[in-house]
Amino acid sequence: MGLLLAFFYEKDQNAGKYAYYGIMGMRHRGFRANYAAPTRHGIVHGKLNPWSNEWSLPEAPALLVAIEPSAKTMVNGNIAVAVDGSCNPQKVLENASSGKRLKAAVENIVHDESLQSCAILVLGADWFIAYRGRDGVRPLSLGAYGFDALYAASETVPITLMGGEYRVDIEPGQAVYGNSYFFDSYDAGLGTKRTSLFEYIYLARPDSLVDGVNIYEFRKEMGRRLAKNHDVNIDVVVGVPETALPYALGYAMEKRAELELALISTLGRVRTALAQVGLEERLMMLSLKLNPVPDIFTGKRVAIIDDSVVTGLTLKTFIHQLRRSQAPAEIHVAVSSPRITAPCPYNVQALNPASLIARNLSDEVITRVLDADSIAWLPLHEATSYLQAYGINPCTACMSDREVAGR
Amino acid sequence: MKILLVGSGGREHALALLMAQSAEAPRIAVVSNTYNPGLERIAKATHGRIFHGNPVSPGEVLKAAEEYEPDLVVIGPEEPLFAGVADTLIENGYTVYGPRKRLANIERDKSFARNLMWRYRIPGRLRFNVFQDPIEASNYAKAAGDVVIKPARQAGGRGVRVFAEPMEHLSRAAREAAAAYAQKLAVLMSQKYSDIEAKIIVEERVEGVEYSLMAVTDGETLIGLPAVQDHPHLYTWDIGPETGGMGSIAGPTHLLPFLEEDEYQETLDILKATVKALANETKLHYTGTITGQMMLTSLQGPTLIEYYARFGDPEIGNLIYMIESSFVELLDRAASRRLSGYNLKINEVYTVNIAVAPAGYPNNRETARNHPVKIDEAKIKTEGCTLLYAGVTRNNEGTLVTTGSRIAEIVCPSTNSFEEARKKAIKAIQAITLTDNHPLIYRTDIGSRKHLEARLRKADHVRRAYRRRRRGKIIVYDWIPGKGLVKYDYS
Repeated sequence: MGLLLAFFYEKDQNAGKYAYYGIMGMRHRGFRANYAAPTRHGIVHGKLNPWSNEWSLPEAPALLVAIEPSAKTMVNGNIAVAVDGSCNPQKVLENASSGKRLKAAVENIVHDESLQSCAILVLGADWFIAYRGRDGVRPLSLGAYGFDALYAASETVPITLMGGEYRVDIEPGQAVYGNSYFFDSYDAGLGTKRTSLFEYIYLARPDSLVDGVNIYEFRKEMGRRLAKNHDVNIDVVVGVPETALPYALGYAMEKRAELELALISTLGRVRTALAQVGLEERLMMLSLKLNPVPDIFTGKRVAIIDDSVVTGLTLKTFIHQLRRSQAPAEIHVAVSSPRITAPCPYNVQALNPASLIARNLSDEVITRVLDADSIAWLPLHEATSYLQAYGINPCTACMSDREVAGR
Repeated sequence: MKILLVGSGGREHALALLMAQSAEAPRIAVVSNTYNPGLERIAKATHGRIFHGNPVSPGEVLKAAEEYEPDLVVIGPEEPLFAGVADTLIENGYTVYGPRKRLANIERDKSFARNLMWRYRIPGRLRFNVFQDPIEASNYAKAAGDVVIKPARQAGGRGVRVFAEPMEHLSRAAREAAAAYAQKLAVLMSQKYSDIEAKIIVEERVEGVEYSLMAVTDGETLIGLPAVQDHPHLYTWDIGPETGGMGSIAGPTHLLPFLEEDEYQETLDILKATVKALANETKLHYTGTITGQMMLTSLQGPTLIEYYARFGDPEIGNLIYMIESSFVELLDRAASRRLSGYNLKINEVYTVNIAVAPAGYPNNRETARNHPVKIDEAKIKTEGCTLLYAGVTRNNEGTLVTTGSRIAEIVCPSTNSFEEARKKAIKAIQAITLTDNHPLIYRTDIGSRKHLEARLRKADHVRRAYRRRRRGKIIVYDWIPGKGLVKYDYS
């Protein structure tokens, strides 16, 4: 779920040494990274787990990375491609190999109707292409590392961690391409910035910009708006680490309630929702993520801010435990995401429709399942109206602003 | 009045235009070893002539001068200055605009320039070290980190590389690369140049907003020209390798949108102090241009990156729309040491200058060379812009071809905005093509609102930082755990 490109202009530079930190800066996007790099001995490619400490990258002046599951790589001869979204990398390879000149390959990619709902990177022996499909669902930012390299990534954090400076976002329908001597942009026009709302809500790091929007500020503001739409009285606010913390801050400010950093994670910044593991293992991970500080909640009216409630199982287990161990007066659940009611047509998340709690149950029933006193979801229009001010009309295909159960 | 102009690039085309539009209506002759259609035309129109000769050869330039008997000789590029062309002509009684060889050392020898700044405590200086031995250079670069490595001798702006360590975790990769490059460059420089002792210079890296300030001097009085901002990245959005400059903006006053009056004056003071220090060192009069390629840094505000002993290119191109006074009078009074009391008048106009280069510039000149150039000059005129011919010449068949450098510059004015001037320039650039379909490269963002806004933001951050630091004097405290406190006094 996400792409990274490091392209150094001088062949004696080693992109791998920098991309290492770029990949570290994309760990929150998934548990498996595919990479490809044009070395002196042809393209070298492989897979690695960015959460482990046992990986290294080949020595090459350029490198591309795709984070699974929604992003994949494919290699053929001297060309490597990476796609993020619902495109077939094979089609990209065919188009990239078809033109004699680089510009012809770019035009083929830009005008292939099957390649409009993803972001694409192509790397040849000494050239690159970066394309953002006309649908504009998947973002791609460009940056520069001094006079040495061009960087591209799905959000700005990896660019920064590789020592680069964020410069500009590729527009939907725009391809940039070049080599050490040449750089141009080809714009088919008619694109719209339908950037995945999921990026802003959950996926990107809070210290990133996505399409120019400051993720931290977005989340804090959404926390405020969530509180405004949650008509309950609260003494203590607590956010599920790490993603929900900026929301919890905004929520607490709006409610004028205490914000407690009272849920402590044993796992660090692991994104449990993205882990490709069985239910049992997921629940184990979650209990390791949510260890409460003792005696903080006793007798209080508590708001738990969670970044997304997909199946609800995590929260259910946690609330049970909290009631048992600390006996709070009330537990209100505020979800910092709109209801997730459908799988993503662009593979940004690959959730099973049958397991989506907001698709299958009404709010009233969900409250009972969770054993909570109330539940509030971030109103979808609050998120979209915020982003519209930045010229973004986000994709909300997996989300709903109202209850859908039973319809 | 007869003027002999030495050199035949884009800078000289701009100088010839500036002089030709002066009230003196001079006859302009040019010493040139390439074919520059712009200069040919001006020489013809002003009843001057073209001398085919090597601008770097004092003998050949003297021969042209003896034949033409000019009232004023104007030397454009730096290499003739380094070769002593000004000295030869001055010694033969000519009035010359362009400093003597020992004065031009301020550009040629970067270690001389940096040493001069520290000895005379000229503000805007950086920490540096010079090396002859490749291994010593390599070891130092590795130990110091976050450095810029340059040839100690001016080498057409080439060979400069920045090894940034914006974050601690990158230092190992950056230092290894810096160490390898320092060694490589030191070996290369000793093979290429024998006219200088120090081979490479390793400087502290600074970050900030760049600008150039060109000043005309007679050795005592100094007239500052409007500040210009160059764009060194090859690609749009400040991406890509470093070049000699892909375009520049200037106007509508002598300041730039992100440069304040006191910063301009401070920069001028740096140049004044430099000219004075040079006079003290050499007992010679500096009659010519001294340019500060500057950066506004968070450490100390206006900081000197490099000196030029001549006008900047592309920077001078912007001024063809901005200088209202007689440019000939300005250069002539500087050359004959009568500059005191000169009053420079400026047109209030926004100017954008965009350079066009063949793909391959600047790092693969072979790829960039020898492509046939076609330029529809009428189209450029229709847009209200000026074409400056730069890296072109004629091949054996008489076709105009690329030399491997920037082909031309397009300068456009606007009374309303940089954005408007930029739009004109982008339209006008379509008039330039390579008939063999070799790709051209030029930047589309120079003067754009988005680019300027980013510059303004950066300048604002830098300004807050250096002004805060100044309130506590410019002493930088560095604490190395276990080793103690180190103080660097920049005042």
